[in-house]
Amino acid sequence: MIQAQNVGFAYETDEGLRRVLHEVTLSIQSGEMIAVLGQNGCGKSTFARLCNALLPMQEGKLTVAGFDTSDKKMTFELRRVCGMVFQNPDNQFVSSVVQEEVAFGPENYEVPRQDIGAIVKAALHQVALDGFEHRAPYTLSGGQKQRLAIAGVLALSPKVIIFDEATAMLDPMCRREVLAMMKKLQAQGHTIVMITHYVEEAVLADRVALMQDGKILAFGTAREILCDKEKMDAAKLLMPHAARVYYDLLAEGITLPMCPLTEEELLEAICRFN
Amino acid sequence: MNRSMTGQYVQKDSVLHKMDARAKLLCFILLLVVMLKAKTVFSYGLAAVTLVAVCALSKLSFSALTSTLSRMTTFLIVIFLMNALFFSTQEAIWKWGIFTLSREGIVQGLHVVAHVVLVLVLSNLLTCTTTPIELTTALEVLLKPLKVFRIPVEMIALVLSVALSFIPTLLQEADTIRKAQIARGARFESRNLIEKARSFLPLILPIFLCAFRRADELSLAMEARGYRGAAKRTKKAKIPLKKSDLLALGICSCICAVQFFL
Repeated sequence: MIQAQNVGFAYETDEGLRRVLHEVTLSIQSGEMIAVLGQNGCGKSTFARLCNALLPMQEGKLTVAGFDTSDKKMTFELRRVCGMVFQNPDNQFVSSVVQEEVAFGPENYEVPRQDIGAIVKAALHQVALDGFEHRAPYTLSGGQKQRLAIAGVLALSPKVIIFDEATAMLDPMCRREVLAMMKKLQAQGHTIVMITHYVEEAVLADRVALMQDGKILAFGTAREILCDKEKMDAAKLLMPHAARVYYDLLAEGITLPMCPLTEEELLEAICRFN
Repeated sequence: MNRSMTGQYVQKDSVLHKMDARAKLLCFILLLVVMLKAKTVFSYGLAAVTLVAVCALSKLSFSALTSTLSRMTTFLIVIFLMNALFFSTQEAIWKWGIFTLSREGIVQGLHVVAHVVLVLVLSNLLTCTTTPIELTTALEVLLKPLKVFRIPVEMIALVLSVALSFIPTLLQEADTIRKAQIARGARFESRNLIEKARSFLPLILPIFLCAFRRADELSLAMEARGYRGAAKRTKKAKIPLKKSDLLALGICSCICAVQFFL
């Protein structure tokens, strides 16, 4: 679904060019949930913006759902199949009424007026915001706002949805809501790309692309990456709590059958330990 | 900052709330003429009776309709004094330096204050009974003829819509910045007007910066959802005006015509 080959990008600054992406190569399959994990400023969001053609391609080749992101003629179509949810929901809203907000995308694609009502209803239903049609977005909770932003993207029926640190401004409860939504969307067949610096969120992904200083340090299953102490240290990230306990126990001479990623897995591993 | 904004939409089940926003906006313009045309006792009577009738139809509370007035008392006093004390006339009741108090000046001051009060209540009626989105949609329709002069009407409507949706967010942001500054010793509670104005200066820059940052992020979010300019979008549905809307327009036109003869 997403193929990146030697993608590079540099921003122009007063001090000259600042390179943020170096030869990024990765391949994301249809229906996968991928986490692009790394510290702030490591180039994750730049990569996400390149996928949506919000930034022009400079080096390498990037295709999303078959569209070459450097082909400016196809940018409009590309954005329909590759939706993007940003960090701050408040900064994504165009309208002061929920239903108008969801209708914004379809209106941009000149979807016939008579079809928009049903699309809006279906999108709001998907994110469990039925009955909120006439509410003002600013009256919603943080999680509801982000779900509304997701509905705005879903109204375009995208194949790929990129969540650019979409949970960063939410409290733990609302974060859980949005993460559950991501999982639900993946189950419905969408390809999910989660840009995050929260290791606990990356645990939910099928595969994790670990980034550091604009490079992909490692790309593999969540367990392969998040339990690899060396790589996580190199990316200057802490391993999930359960994995850290595993290594602490290992240092004490206790070897659990596998490196757990979640508290539940840790509990299970301890219970099974003889 | 947490209290509801003056003139904000108040949900009610009234004739005025149900009225089409386009007709409502046109009626508002006609009634605005009625209010501003008032000069004689009879014309003021007509303006007042019309306003009271419309207020009654709106089912809004007295406080919702007059909340702007209580907040603008100082402004009303200032404009009265400006007119009363600076009206140039030969027959002065009292004179001191550049100030000249005259009967004509007082009458002029009362006229201006009465006009402002009538217009404020009328404007409150419009905004309290019409949602911002209805208003911007109505504006877009009514401004359509300006397209002949290549004025980007859809763009103006979208800008207004975005601006309206950003008001609560920016107010919240301003409140956060204000509280952060109070926590660092800033004082906003001074009763001295100059001091008060000066104390708000450190608020302005962060609010502007925040607004620009938000605008930048919003433009990205809009682009990501396929926005290419307001002209290339699904057109709004054409809904004809109802009989009741046409009737309201007719009544307001008649009142406006009568006002010209009084």
